[in-house]
Amino acid sequence: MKPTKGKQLGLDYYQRLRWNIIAFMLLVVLIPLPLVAGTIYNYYRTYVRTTVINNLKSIAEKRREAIEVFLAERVLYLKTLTQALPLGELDKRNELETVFSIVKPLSGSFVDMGLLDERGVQFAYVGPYDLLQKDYRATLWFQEVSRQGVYISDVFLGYRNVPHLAIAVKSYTGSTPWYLRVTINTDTFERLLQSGQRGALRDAYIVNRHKEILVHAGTREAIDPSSIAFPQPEEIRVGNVRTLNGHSLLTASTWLNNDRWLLLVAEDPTSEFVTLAHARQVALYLFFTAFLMVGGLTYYAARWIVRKIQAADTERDIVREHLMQTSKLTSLGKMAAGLAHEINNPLAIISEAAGYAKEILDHNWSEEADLSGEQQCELHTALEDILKEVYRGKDITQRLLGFARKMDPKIVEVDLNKTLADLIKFYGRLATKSRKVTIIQRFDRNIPVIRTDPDQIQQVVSNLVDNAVYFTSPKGGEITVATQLADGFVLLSVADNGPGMKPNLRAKIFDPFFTTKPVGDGTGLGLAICYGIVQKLGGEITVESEEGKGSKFIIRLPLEPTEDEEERHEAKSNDRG
Amino acid sequence: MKPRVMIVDDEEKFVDYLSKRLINNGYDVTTSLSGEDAVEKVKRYNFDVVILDVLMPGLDGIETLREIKKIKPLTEVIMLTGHASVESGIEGMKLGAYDYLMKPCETQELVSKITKAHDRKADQEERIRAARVADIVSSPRSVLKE
Repeated sequence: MKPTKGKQLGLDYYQRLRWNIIAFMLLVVLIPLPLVAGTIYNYYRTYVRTTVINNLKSIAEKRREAIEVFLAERVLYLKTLTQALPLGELDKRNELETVFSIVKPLSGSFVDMGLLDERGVQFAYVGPYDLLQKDYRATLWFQEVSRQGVYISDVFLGYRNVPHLAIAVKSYTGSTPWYLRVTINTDTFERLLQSGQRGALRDAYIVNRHKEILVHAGTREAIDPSSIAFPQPEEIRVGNVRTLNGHSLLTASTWLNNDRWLLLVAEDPTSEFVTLAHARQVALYLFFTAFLMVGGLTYYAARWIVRKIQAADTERDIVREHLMQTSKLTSLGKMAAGLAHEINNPLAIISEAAGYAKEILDHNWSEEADLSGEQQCELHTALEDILKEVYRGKDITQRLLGFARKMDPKIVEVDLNKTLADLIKFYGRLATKSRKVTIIQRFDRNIPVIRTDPDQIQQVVSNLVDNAVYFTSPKGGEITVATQLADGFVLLSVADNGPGMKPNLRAKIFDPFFTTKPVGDGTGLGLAICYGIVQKLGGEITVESEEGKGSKFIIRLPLEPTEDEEERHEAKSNDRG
Repeated sequence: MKPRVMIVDDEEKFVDYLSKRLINNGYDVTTSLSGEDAVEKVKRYNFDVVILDVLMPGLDGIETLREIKKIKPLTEVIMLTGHASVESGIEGMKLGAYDYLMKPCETQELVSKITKAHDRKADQEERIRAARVADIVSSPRSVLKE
């Protein structure tokens, strides 16, 4: 048995159907699912990023405020001190010590304190350094404080290499300026930078305009200041810096009020984004789980569906088979009447001929004479005629048997013209005698031998001729049965000059159980079955008709049925052994 | 006088043998192979009994019967049917056929029916004659009516 394409792939129609259903359902699920997941994930990611960034900015802002408040308070404190205490006079050293000893415990960040006169000479000093009488006139800070009234220094490494900060304020005794200067350590600074953080996730830095790190609050690895990008004034800039080890940190930076210092809060993005990565993993796991679930369910659903379809198809095939049989029986019934008549004619002739022969012999025996030559001739002719009629009867019964035989679709080489001619000969007598209808044959001699089932072709054509006869009588008419060769196909048509059909009728004519014959005359199955038979033979049946102009049924048959049909037929006939 | 019989059927052999047999049985037999031909013959000749096949091309049995009854109503007709179509038999009888038979038929039965049909016709003709005589007797002028 030749393998068909389907068999070569190892799949048959139902398996293919099953995979098609599964593929389709998976596609339907798998396209929206990632879209939804992806979209939600994106929104979540944006949210997380925004939150993290906003957090960072907010911290930077708060730190900035805290520092500025701290510094402003220190300045105010000092100013208050200068207003409250008349420290401008010389020899107030002891008094300065007293003040310092009061002040220092209250605010532990004071390292030293000094008083300077209008020339910039520190005339009083309390603290760990030896700075008494030091002349600061030439320094930048003295010039600034004498101009601005306030000076806040950069952070510098001071006593024991701890970062320090100096603040100086100007005051007057009368019209003479004098200056109070203090050094504070940056512990407080650092505490300020760190305060309010739970879990020390972020380091904070204060950096000057030369990109020197003044303060580093935090325990993580230090950043590489060259990777800092300065923000605009008033801006809280979010960006990235590199650490000395090459890691990238997320930062928020902003200028402190004096615009000399940049406050920078740095955070390791991975820690914040861990939750995001976690969410992504969860999403992926869920997706794959869903995929597996859907896949599994789809597979079983598809199997179930296809099994149902298979069952329905099988049932439909059984029903169709039954319909065919029923239709056959119906046709058979109709044929029986016609056939009885057909057979009765030969029988009648045999009866008369035999009776005649008997009479000749009877007459002869009663005369007791020899048979005359003429009588012998008559007897001989009569017996010959009897034999002829016997074979005529046999012909008819054979046809009936052929029709009644259980339909075994058999593909053989068929001379279509001859098959049709035989059928018409058989039908012709019946049709023309009873219904005043003539059947015209118009056969194309060029049609080749085709491979098809002749019995089924005859069944279809008889049905068509039946219908034509039914609808053209009693007025009588013409039925034309024609064959024609037309590019690779054979066209077989049955046309009549009967009443024809309106378009809406034409559209329904092949529907099962549709008939225009009165109840009892038509089952509505004939053309539906013809349609089925022609399809199975790999062909097509169509109708051309116009009201008042008759109808023409055209069957298009391939020269060979397709391999599928042939296989199925072979398989069936093999089953029957 | 021999009864005049016409056999009408499109099966030539059947007509042939039947006519031979009826001739042997002492009938005067005419044959016809179609309804139209039969009607023509009925117009020209007189028959006592016509044996008529129901199923024929052209003018079928029932139509032929109708025509015959229009032309020569006293002619008796026996319908022959090849298929068990009781309806056409009954229809025929409603139209005036004497009886109907199924092919193939037992010649004896046919002969007996022909005889009975012929008898009925003869009987009818006799009654008609009697009526006419009575008519003439009562009114001599009725001779002129003929």
